[in-house]
Amino acid sequence: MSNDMQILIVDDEDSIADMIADALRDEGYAVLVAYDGRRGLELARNYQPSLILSDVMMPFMDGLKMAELLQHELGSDTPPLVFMSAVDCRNQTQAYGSFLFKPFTLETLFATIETILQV
Amino acid sequence: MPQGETPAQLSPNLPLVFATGDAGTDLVMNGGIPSQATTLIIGPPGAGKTVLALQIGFAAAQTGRNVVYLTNISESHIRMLQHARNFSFFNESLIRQNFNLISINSSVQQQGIDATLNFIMDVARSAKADILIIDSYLGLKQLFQSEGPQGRNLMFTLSSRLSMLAVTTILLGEYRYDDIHIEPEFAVADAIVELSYSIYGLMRSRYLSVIKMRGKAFLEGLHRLTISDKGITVFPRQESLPLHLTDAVSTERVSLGIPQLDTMLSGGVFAGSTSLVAGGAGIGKTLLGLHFLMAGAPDEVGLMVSFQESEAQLRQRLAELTMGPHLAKHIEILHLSSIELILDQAAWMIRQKVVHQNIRRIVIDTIDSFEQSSQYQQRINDFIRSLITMLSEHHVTAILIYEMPFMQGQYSFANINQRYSTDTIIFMHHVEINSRLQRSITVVKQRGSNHDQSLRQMDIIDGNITIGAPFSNLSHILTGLPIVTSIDSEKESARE
Repeated sequence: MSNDMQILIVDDEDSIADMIADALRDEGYAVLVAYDGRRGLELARNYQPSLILSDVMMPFMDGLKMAELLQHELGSDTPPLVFMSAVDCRNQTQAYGSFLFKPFTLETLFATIETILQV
Repeated sequence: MPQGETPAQLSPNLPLVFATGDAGTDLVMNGGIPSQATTLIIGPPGAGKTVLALQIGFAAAQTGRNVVYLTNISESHIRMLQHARNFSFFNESLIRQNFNLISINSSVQQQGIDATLNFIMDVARSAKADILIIDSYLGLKQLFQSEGPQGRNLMFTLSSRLSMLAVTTILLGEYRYDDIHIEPEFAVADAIVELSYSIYGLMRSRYLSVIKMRGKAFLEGLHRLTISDKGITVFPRQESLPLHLTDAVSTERVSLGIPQLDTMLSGGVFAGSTSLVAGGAGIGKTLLGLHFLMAGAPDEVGLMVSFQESEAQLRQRLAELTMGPHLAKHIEILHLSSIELILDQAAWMIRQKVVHQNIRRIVIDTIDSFEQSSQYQQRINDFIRSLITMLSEHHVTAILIYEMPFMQGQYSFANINQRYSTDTIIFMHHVEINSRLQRSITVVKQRGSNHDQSLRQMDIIDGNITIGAPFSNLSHILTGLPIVTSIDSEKESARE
């Protein structure tokens, strides 16, 4: 897998964020991690990753607010977003990106990422 | 403090308590969790702390309050939500809107106590939290134990800061009861709720008890609780419920639905009184109870609490009564199983029906089923007296059915009179006459009224009770083996 692909993971549950980060690094991706929406927005602005995997419920700024601000700032340059949540909020997230229902397998995660990044 | 008055330092826009989503818990806690205060919910693993906290959170979110549920090490959000979905209080649409599940992740915790406190305050402020729950607070505290006094006083610092935001704080921890005397947070907390369980035989019984509630009365002692798909349901200990005894004596008579029996009672029993109907198996006690309930219909709603016959069986018997099968639909039936019966659950169900369905007549068939089911025999007298008082307080006229040993020969009412202290005792029993069992009925006691003292013949014809004349030419009827007396001696006694 190409390591010029950078993926930003935003999740307040660090055990989940770190586990996904390790798995993606093993697959050859460069990975950035944030544990809340505010930090996630900051990293997305600064690094413009190839893809953002984001939780929805997070402290200070939730995933939807982060997506809304990113779209407002970056417009069509906004990286593709995949929301991950144990709560079914597809109705709210569909305007900004895809949705993965937690819990999911790494196989499902990789397949979703590969489809979006076309690798 | 007068009702409705708000202490000056509290936000007047918030309620004084937050309901817990369970009527029993609210009753025990005098309305619910105290608002803008710190409540500790303690107990061993599996006692139901998280379920109770989630239930309180969803009850508040349902009313538009903002709830933040902060987790640290106890359970992942995925698993927590998977479990929470099994409860009827869970409302997916409230998640994110009013109910936010946030993790105090380890990177924050590793930065130390100040960073963690700042994180909690920032979360509470940005979410405009009305209620903030930390699961588990003890886990957090243990992490900072090495940080000296600041670690030990974590709760004091946390409570003080959150109170400035008018946040109601609920902290969960796997504390043991003995920790109450050692750990400083128990002095700081405004309220302490303990969830516990004990093993009795093969049963695990769960309890909720309020150890402390600053400035508020609450129901003392242990209260049984169950965890079901509804969440936590607490059944307040019957004896702990406040009773408002009334000295008023009713002069209104209530029919038992059997005209001859009403005559024996000088017109029926008093409204709001309690009568004990005692007798052996198959004598017709339940049937007497059904007559009594039907006599009140349709104006007075009747409730049959049955530990023995099923609702279908009782409905069939009601339909056979000549009083009018169309009245049977006015009789409520509550069938309880005496197997592993939770006394307070049964009492709570009866109370709920009495209060919410305006029950005016009740039959409990049989009252001794409570005794057989009680884990604590020493509480049974108080339990039953309290139940009777509760019925009287709600102006319910009650019949308690008591099963006595069949054909014992020597009957004693001393114990049951002392135990139940009912206003009236009606005794039904079998008598052997000419190798045939004959039913008899007598009024043993009727407080504040004259009553017929004779032992009368009783029969059941086509599912209906009829009462005839007193037995003649017989004595020692109560032994079950009467002796034939001479006509002359009977005339002699009649003259006397």
